Amino acid sequence: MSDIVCIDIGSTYTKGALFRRAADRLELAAYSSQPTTVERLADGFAAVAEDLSPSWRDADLAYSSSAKGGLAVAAIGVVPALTMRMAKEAALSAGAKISRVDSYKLTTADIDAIVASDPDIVLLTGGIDGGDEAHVLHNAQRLGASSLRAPVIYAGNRCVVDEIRKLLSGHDCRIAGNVLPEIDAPDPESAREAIRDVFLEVIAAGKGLDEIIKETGAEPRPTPLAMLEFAQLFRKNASDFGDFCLVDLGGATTDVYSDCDPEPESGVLVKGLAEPPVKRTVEGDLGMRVGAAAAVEATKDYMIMRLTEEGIDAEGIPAFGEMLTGDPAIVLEDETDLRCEEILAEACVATALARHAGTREQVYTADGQRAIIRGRDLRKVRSLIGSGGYLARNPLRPSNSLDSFRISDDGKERLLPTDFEFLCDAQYTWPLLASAAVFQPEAAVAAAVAGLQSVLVEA
Amino acid sequence: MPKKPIIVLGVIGADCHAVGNKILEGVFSEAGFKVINLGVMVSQDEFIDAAIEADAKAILVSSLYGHGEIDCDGLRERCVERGLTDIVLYVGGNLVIGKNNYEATEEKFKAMGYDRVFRPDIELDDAVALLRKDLGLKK
Repeated sequence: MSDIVCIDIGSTYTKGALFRRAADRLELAAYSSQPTTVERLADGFAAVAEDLSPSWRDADLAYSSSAKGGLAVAAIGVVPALTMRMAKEAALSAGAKISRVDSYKLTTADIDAIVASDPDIVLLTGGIDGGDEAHVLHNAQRLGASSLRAPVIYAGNRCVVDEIRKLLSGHDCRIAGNVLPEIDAPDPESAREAIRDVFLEVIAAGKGLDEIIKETGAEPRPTPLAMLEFAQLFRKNASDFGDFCLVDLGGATTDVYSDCDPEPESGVLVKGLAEPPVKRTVEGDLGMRVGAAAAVEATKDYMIMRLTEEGIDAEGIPAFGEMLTGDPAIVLEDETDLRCEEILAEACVATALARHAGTREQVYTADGQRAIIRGRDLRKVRSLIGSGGYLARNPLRPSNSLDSFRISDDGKERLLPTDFEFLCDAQYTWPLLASAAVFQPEAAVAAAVAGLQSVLVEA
Repeated sequence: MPKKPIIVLGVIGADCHAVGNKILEGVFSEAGFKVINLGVMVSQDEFIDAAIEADAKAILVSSLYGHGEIDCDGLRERCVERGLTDIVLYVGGNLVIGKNNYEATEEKFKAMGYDRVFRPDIELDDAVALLRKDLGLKK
């Protein structure tokens, strides 16, 4: 059986792994990491492939990319809590980053801002089927008359599809199923597929991936899509693993993926749009390098508390953040800087989890207390996995950092994990195993679980 | 087949009485309406969010625990602010504690902007007929 070559083209590094099939397992036979060749992605790709094995062309190949800004989607909906949220989640679950979110009727300034945000795709949604038409017709008319060059995917009220096509006739316009066909029936799948199709047909070429597609005959996925689809395999292929959460702490953003299967509690009211089994959120203001200045600002209170605990002067922390953002290639050596970096990592991970998790509140009614749950219930998560460049090199010491986030500002209980093991993707192979899963899903999942290093609590 | 008129239904505020709500959903569905039933403990914004996405013709607010006034007040203003100035608003149930003067209750809630105010013992078929009339629907 042939080997499997997996490559991930990151914004800074192109990484690859050669996996050998051994019975029903996968063994890591070679690993390579080279700087991403931004002007011509195919060069770095080939360098990694050759480094893995001179006969890489005989192997099965699967690869992903987040280079050149990844996949940027501008999401438009009507009501923020309903279709705008669905558009954003459909894009995130397709592996995109959100360049802009808009709601209700777009103004000229909104259109200008959408165009200026340089999206790869505009996702236009709004109105349940048979419901509101005015907003999407208005928005389609504005988009149609604008200088927007990006393809538009329409995933709104199906009753006005003909008018939408007409209004967007000068554009590459794709029609997908409504992301919210009924108020209580979210359905992002059709929009996700449309985003994937547009990525392969139109966007991959613009990013320089078409050369690789032509040469290898294999099509890439956006890296976050590969990760999400990988996460979706765990419940079936690693049923003991249970609910889990993966935090990918990057230089610019922190991504959280979770697989939740909460136990319904009797007497508890679940409100809001139904949660999908596997979900991805992206925090664009939490990062370790390019995103450090924003992260320091966003996690100020927590950072000040922790720095004070460690006896480090908190006054210098904004400058620390600016330093990392200004020089993303910096290598820290000073002991205090390294401690600050670790606390920043803690802050990003905990804050990203707090934002990903839902809430529970007690409401007093005439019949006594009732609990209301909104959003994602992470209480059954037993495995919290850290991934990304920083965490692979510096497994975070488990701390009580989540405890600072258990109660939200408005007094609700955040549905964060309470009893969990912190594990690290120490060899940073998960994004590559996500590609291997295309050929050997069970073995890739098994390898991913086996490769996790438990971060033991220091006595 | 002509489009069914869409209405939004729910029990407002910290009120979790669910039975009447289900009965209302059944009766109005049978009568040919598409009912978006938001269930119990529904906030004003949740009613309006659904009404906007659905381009609903009416919002039917139930309140059964006797403290509805404070939950119901401000809904019309909120509808206006959020672009649903002329949407039909009905309210019904046990709107005040005790069997007070119904006329006074009706006057109070009409002043808040509700088009019709229903007592808990209303004949539901009558309510359906009134809604059809208010929405200008053919018999």
